[in-house]
Amino acid sequence: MKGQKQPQQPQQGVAKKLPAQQQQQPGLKPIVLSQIPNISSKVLNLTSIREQSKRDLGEALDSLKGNKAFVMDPKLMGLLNLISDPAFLTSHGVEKRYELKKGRFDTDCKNIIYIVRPQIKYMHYITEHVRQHASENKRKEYAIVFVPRGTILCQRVLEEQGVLGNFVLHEFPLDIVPFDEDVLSLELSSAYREYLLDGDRTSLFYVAKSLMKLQSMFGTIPIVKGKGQCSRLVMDMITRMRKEMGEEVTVPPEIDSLILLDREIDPITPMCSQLTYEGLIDELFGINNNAVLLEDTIVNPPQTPPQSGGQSPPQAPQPPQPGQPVKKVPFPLHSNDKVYSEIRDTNFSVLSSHLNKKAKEIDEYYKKFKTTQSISAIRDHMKKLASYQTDHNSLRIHTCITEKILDITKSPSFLKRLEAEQNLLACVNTEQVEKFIEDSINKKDPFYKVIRMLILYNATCNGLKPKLWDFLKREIIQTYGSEQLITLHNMEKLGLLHKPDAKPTYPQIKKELGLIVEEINEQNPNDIAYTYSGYAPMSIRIIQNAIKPGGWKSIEDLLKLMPGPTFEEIQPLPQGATTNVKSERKPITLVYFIGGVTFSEISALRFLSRQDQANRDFIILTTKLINGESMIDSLLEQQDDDY
Amino acid sequence: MSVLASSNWSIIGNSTYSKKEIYSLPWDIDLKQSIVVGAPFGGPIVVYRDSSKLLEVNSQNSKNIIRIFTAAGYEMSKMMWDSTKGNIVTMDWIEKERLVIVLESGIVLIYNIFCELLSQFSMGDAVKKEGIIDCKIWSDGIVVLTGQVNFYTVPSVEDIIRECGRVIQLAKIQEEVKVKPGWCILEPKHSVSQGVEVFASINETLYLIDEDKADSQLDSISNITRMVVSPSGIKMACFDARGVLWIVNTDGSTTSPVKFETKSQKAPLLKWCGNDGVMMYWDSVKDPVLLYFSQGDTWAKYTTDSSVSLVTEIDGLRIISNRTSEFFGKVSDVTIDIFKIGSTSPAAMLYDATEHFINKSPRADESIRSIKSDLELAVNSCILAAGYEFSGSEQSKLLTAASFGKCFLDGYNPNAFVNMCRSLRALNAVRNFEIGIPLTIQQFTEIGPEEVIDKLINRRKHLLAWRMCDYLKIKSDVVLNHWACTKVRTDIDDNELSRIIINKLESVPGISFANIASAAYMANRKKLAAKLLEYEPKAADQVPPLIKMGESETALGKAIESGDTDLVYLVLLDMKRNRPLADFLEVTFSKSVAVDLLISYCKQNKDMNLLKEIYGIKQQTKEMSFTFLYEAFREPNFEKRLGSFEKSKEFFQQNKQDKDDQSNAQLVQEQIKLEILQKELENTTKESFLGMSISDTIYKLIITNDSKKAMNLKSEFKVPDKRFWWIKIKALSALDKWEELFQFSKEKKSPIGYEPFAEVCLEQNQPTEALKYIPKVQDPVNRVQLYIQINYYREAAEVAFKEKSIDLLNLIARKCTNPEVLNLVDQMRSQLQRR
Repeated sequence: MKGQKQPQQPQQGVAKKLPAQQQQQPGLKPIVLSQIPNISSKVLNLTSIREQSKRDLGEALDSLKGNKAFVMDPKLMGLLNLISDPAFLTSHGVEKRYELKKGRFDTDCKNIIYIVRPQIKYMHYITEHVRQHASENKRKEYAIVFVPRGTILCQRVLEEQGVLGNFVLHEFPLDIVPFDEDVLSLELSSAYREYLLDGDRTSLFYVAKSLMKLQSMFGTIPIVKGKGQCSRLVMDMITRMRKEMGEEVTVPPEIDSLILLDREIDPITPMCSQLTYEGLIDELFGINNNAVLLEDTIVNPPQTPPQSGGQSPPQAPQPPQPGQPVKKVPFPLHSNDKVYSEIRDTNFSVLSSHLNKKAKEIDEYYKKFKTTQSISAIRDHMKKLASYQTDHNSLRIHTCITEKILDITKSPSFLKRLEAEQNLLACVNTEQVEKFIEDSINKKDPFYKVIRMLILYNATCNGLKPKLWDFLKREIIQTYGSEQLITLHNMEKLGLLHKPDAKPTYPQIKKELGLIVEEINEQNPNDIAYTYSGYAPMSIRIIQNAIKPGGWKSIEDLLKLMPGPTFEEIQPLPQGATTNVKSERKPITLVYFIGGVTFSEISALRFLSRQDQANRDFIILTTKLINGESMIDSLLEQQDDDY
Repeated sequence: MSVLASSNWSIIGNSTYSKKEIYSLPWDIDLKQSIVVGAPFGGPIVVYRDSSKLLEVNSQNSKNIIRIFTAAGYEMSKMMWDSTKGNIVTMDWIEKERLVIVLESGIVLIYNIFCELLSQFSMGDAVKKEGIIDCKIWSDGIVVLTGQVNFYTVPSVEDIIRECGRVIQLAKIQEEVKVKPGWCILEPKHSVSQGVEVFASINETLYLIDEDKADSQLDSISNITRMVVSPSGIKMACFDARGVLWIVNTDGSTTSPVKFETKSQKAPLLKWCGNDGVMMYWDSVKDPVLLYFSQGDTWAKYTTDSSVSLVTEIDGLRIISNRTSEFFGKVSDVTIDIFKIGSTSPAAMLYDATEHFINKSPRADESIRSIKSDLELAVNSCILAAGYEFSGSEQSKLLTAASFGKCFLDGYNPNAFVNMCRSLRALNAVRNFEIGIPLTIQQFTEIGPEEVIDKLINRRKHLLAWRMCDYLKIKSDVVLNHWACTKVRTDIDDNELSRIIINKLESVPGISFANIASAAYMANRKKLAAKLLEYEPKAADQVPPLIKMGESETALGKAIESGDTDLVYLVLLDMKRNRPLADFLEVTFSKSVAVDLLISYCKQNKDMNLLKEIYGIKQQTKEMSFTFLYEAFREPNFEKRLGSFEKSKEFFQQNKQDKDDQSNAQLVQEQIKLEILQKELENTTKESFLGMSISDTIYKLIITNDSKKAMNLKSEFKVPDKRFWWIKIKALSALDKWEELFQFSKEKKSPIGYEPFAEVCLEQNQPTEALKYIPKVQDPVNRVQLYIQINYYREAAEVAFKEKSIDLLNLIARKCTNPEVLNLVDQMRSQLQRR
């Protein structure tokens, strides 16, 4: 335990300074990749989006001259890591970085730049800071950088608090953030809730704006298909914006078609446990902004002499002694990691064999190296050495992660939950699930787990029978507290929990879309259902149908069973922007998940684009990368927004 | 002619300067009695009667009048200055030819060239208290010196106008100041700190002051009374108390400053002539003197018959007197080449040859031949030289020469020639005395054609501006927008005017009808404004003017149409502030999108009263109940908290048909009961209970050894046996009360089976305790798994064997490492298979 430091100092004040390890430039060891992936412009040139954001961030930071304290909205901190590195911030005068929190804020910097989403509570926090500094006779300069823009609501709060004049206000129009070469996100965590629950279209407006931005870069997208009320609204906004714009840039269209899909159409999939490697990491440890937090000893093992060939690389690190706080460091997860990009989309049941194969490959290489004689052969080997060493290290870490995952997936509680989910999806043995839910409440499992199963039950079993619902509601309230009445009310308003309908729809959808696939080959998948070990994510089945020659015609009636309108439209191209000359490239379909998408769904789409019959590339854009937990989190009755 | 061209030249040091008249001024101004300030880049001139100068009282000057003239001396506007506003400290021009007037009290007034007040602000109470004694202004900012010898700055006037700027105090000088310091400003674009900096001479030390610190720079010079920085920001001219003029670098890199002893103790006015040298001007009634000093020891003296005003340009100096406006500056090298007496440069030869050619003299051919090899150079020189000329005939002669020379060149690229013709045509148009913008070609290149267009529309010369756009191929939407905005202030009637504007502008891209409508509204023409606004294609742009016009309903509709929620909020908040509540809500309720947003606003802003008001009107009892519930959970006062719960319950109860609400009412009632009970518990046990759920309360009671109360609670709230057992075994295991747990398991038959008992033991890492319960677990599969978990493979195998399950035996075989047991398992397997 050499690397272990004494416990971190207790957090003083409220805006705590970030731990030093995060302040320094990461990646001193070359084997650890940056969280910011290098994006090849294989499909679309997305790097320019990031470069623009970086320039905008630089401008925002320059809104105050000189050295400054940089106080960040906790929800933006990770995101900013995907645009810039600490060195960039330093080059723009950032001396210290803080997380914005309620309460006192002490810093010796004279200049303070806040970077926040335009939320009213933050305005109150900041007001409090200004007052505190004034009362302590500290002369400070303040700037607020709003992401993606300032709102009249925030301005009004500052005005009413009488502090507006203290600030330089700046906007940082950050919307689309590239997460990988095929994944983009706006990272708006409340997009699902905002419109469907509160009727607030703010996020949808940003969605429309992001599409306008993409179209200005990659040309007008000729074909648009959509399903759901949010999608419809977004489509209307785009149409209007195009009309208002008058003159359009005439870029030849690079994106062939757009599919807009509301999360509301398929609330089932995110409620199921994801079973791909990437999905499981997210479910069990949480992936945030392309990184998972791992024990330091896994990522940076205590120095051991370099392993010679012949040995199997993975070696589990020693578990930390109990009672000692475990230092965790972010480990980047994206396609630049070659080992990861090969296994991220595979089902967990075949992980071990994949890792074994990779280990053998590296082993072979080392062995060959030993027996190599000629100088030229050695030189050839040396060229590849670095890349093999990187793979080797990455393989070691992924083996550790896999072991941790398999430990959990073997546990009875995981298996029971999985059984319950599979029963629901297949509409069998639902009594077992009812008992499972009851037990789960009795044990006081984390609340989101209960709700997650309940929503899945509701969606697959045609709602909740009044008697069952009355019983469970009481059990929930007595166990988790009456505050959850409001949460349950929210769920009801969203239709995630409801009384039985006259006619159940799920069995029909299940049958016609072929959601349950009995014969699944996880090793060499033949259907997207491999991602959930037998359940084909409904959202992706709908997309699969959309790209068929007849489009959605064949499932027209089925789509009518789902909420919200269905539409297929042709966007007229601006004059002068002719379709690209038939190029060698596969057509590109942009899939926009409004309300969030899970990693397993992304894996399923990647699987589709690798299939020959699809013959197209998918770019995935979403309001937020989610899993069941984070989705439910955004719907909970929250106390933390108080001020 | 060429002799004449050089007649106003004078040689100062190594350079040639010219001082030429550009306009004769038709005005009736006596500079002796006035303050006269001109704007750079051929800008307008403001004239104000100088109260510090004695004058004869007559009808014309008895009142304070501020008058604004073009650079050619034609009056554009005037206004009576109301001296009750306060004493003027300084007036000067900033960007976009706006006049800034700074008053002693710190009030700043900004006018356009038509004396229309654009903006007004105060520099704050501190400045007001200390009183301004001196003030200097640069293109976008102001620095003032107060009576307490503090410097304050407006770093950007533009920002203040847009309501996002501020007044900043510069660092204080840590030294007692004996005499009023000489000082000057270093503009932000020239300073290292990128903020404005001030050079100030205090007690024989030269300070450089910025926002954070006041550094002393040099201390060898005596007190400096006047100083000024050159247009490029590189050099600074200082005039000290002993009558010496110094030129130093602003970055402090000067080792041996240029010095010039004037032998005059009286401080002159200092003005840079471009970046070349400094003009000193001693104003006196009898004998005003202009003294020009450049690098080295060279200087030149000029006399003038009247007082003058000087305007620094980037390439020279404008000298404005009672009767003329002159331009003083370095003569360009190409001009000297051509017009110097006896010049034999190729360009001069070409110029000569052209004259001969026009006069049909054969010498033309001879001259051209003599410069054949340098002809291209000569042509280029003539083109360039034409640019420096103000006189049309001289330009035309030089261009003719260039054109003539061109004929003898193969493949000459005519671009330079064409561009020069185009620029000169534009320049001549604006230099015309009726427009009066005497731009030089260098100034024109510096500011670019767009800014020239801006200058024209500022002067409301729309036709010329529009033609110039057309000619120079620039988008003309700016001109048309401005034209329309000006037009709405005329008195043409509404119908006629809207027809004219719409006809002319409807099909022009980039026209903002919203802006024009706003201008019409400002000019008090509501109807016209409304009509024009209909032609605005962008819904978003229609909203702010509609709000201004008080058309909230329409504004709300347009805001919703635009899809931009921020605009909807803009309308809502404006109504909330400016309209009676009932009125505001009525308009809001006409659009469901608006109501949703207002509710969302109330929730975010914790405006519970307005929220209740809305739900009350909409008779949404369900939402009302939840609002009270929400409030209750956040209410720290116990009595009020219960009150809110009661309210919530009442509203739930009102909804008689809704079964859900009836059950909700019950749940809230239980919550009330629970909280009262918890309050009692807190009083008796001194432990905190409030805010806990029923299960948690029971758990805590068991933990604190109060099983009886826990039982009471169980029956009070009808907690099912199953859940109660779970809570109890969890609590007991957390306390390590294994004996008690065991007793509890025997109390009666467990409603949840015995698996949970084993589970909690394992969770606490107590396999021996778990062993007590595993045999009681009903499901054999679970039993086997539990045995495996604690590594009791033999027992597991026995169960499996009894159940005759090969699958379970296989599972055990995979996990087990004990060879003895493995043997046993093998035996069992074969035994089972045999059957």
